[in-house]
Amino acid sequence: MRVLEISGSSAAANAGLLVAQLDFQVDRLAVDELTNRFTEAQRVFFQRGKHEIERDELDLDDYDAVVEDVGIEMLAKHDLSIEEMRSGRESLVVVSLSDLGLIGPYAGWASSEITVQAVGGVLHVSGYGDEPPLKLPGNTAAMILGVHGATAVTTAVFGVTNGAESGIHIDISAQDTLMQHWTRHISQYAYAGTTTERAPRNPEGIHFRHTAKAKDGWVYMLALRAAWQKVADFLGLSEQVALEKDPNVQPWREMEAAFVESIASKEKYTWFSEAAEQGWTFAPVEDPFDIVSNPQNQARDFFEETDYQGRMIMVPGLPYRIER
Amino acid sequence: MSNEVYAPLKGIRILSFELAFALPAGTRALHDLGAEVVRVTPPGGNNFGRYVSVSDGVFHGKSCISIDLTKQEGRDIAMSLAIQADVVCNNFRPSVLTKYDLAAKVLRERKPELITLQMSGYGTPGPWSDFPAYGPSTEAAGGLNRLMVNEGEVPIRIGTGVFSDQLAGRHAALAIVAALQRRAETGLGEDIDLSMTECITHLMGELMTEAVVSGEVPVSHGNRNPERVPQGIYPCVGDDEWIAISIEDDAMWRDFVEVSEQDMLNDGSYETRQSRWKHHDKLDELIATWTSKWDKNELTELLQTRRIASAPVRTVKDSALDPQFQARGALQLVEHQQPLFGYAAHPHPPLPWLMAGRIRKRLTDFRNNGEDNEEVLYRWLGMTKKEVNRLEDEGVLYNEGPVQLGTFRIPQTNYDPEFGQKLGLPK
Repeated sequence: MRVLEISGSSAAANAGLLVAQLDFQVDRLAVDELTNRFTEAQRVFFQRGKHEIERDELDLDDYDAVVEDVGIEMLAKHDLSIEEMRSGRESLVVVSLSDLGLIGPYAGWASSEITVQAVGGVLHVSGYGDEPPLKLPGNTAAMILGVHGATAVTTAVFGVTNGAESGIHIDISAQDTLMQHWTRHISQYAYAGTTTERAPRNPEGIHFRHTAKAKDGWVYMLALRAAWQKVADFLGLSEQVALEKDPNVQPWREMEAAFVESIASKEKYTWFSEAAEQGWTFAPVEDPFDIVSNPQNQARDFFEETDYQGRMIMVPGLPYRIER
Repeated sequence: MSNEVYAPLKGIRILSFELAFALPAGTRALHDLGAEVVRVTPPGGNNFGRYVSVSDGVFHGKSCISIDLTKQEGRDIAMSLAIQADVVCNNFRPSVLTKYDLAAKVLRERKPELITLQMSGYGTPGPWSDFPAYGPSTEAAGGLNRLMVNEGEVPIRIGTGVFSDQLAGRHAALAIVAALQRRAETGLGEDIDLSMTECITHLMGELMTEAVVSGEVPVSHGNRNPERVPQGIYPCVGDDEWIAISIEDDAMWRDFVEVSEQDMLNDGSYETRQSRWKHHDKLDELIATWTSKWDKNELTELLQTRRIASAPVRTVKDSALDPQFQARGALQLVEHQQPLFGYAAHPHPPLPWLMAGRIRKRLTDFRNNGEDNEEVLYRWLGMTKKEVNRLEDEGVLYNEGPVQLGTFRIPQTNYDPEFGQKLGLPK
């Protein structure tokens, strides 16, 4: 499979990256005004495994698919309108990625990552209840759109290879794809009429805090369906715990000092592994440097080396190991 | 537009030992693209509640058979089904299928062109391989929670409980289809081992790279963006109603000042992006004072007349009514075999892509544990109804019949008694 990437944002760039990481050939159209939209770090992350191709070297007949996120006007500017690309190329797949889609009442709207997160959902249930909803970090919506872009390209080309389908143009929006990530909340309202609200910023001593400071960093604590007394024993709060079964109705103000002291008594990986022995889903809260060096990612060879200004740095590889 | 359903995966058979949300979301996507997906449950189903299984929608459209893998005859049936499949996948802890002699290696010794996928919280190999995980745990371990905040602040998890699950499911779909394409080119199958945590870290790849390049964890600006000033989430009329506004450049700022008719914003000290960044707190205050008098949808319409990047913050209640979602068919009413909670159908998102000249597959209802034993085992293995009934009688197979939710108690917090009417749910 050979794919042409025409990218001006993280969406098509991530789609192209994933396809390249899956060992298919990806050529990125080299256009300065598009390349200049990326930061240095983005270029390092996204450009791995791809070839650059100039417009005057481009022959669309060499490709099975095109993935683009630059929009109709930019495509037309380079004589690459969707109609022109697909004309006479029955098997060519073209996947268009955009914030809000190519059709619909919002199709002409001006947008950005935060406005897409807003109208795509998810954002309303993120952050604290007594503050504005909080944006997800980085270009999360665009990156998710890129995963869909890679899947659409690969699936549509497979359909052609398999003889089940011919070439096609697929229109995917970040709004539509992000919405899929909070379907549980939409369903909760549609089935039961109830809604999830953002919880207020948690002052100490009000209710159980799922994230607390261990000896060497933060630990996330989740023990769904576990008996609260058992969890309390595990957390070293046997003596302080009240009889109520719900962790949120414990006398947390009285328990706060013991809770803080107990969690701080062990390293986050120790809490993590000891909770796992109980069948509970605690997790270390990892920062980027923890992630690069933690034993799990090392064992899986998740990170790969790439050159950055003459020095080798570690960047995330494909999030799955493949054995053929 | 033609009425022909887009089905590039037509003819592909997928056998999925799946539970919870993550892998089911991935195989739902493959079903939506034309594959035949059969999910396999243990007797009594998995440990997830029936209500959540139904309302999550990730099992929709798939057939369901229920096999007791603790019995040798059950394992034999599972193996026979696997041999008939193109793809066998699971999201149990990695040791589970090994225990039942159904690990990828065993399956591919029998059928080298088979594609297998194992999804777990942390992936194999590695010291955390068999640690249990839900989506939120993998968001913490994958870096998302820490990147929401700055050093010294309590890391925060995003509000949706299925964020990581949906992402990992989408990656599973991609990995499987890529393997199908490679198999079409080489004739060889493959084993895929997918880590939900790594999917989160890959999603944060730009920020991970920024950290490694600079040697520092990237600063979180929250709702702000130094490249687009001002940018924020501002209050509107109503309880917990908001609008997102994001000013790309000085020209957009001038348009914003003009359309808002706010003299206070028309100040020389806000003319450049740098100066606006310096005064962001003050600008947020002024903008919020103005936006709080507006309905979020009407204000967005006004700002978009000047192409100012803005959007209403959709809530759980109004998301299904969003005009763009409606125009693009982003939610479909799924008819139930029998009414659930008083309604004949509920909305669920189909495949979120629009294919020119083609339509999406219509979603069909949840199939309960073992409801399709007869149909699937006849079609895949040629078993007669009598044989299937014998296996059900002997407890090798299990059949619960159509799902019953009548006695389920729904939490009544934040309850809106008019939800059915607002969403136009059919009785």
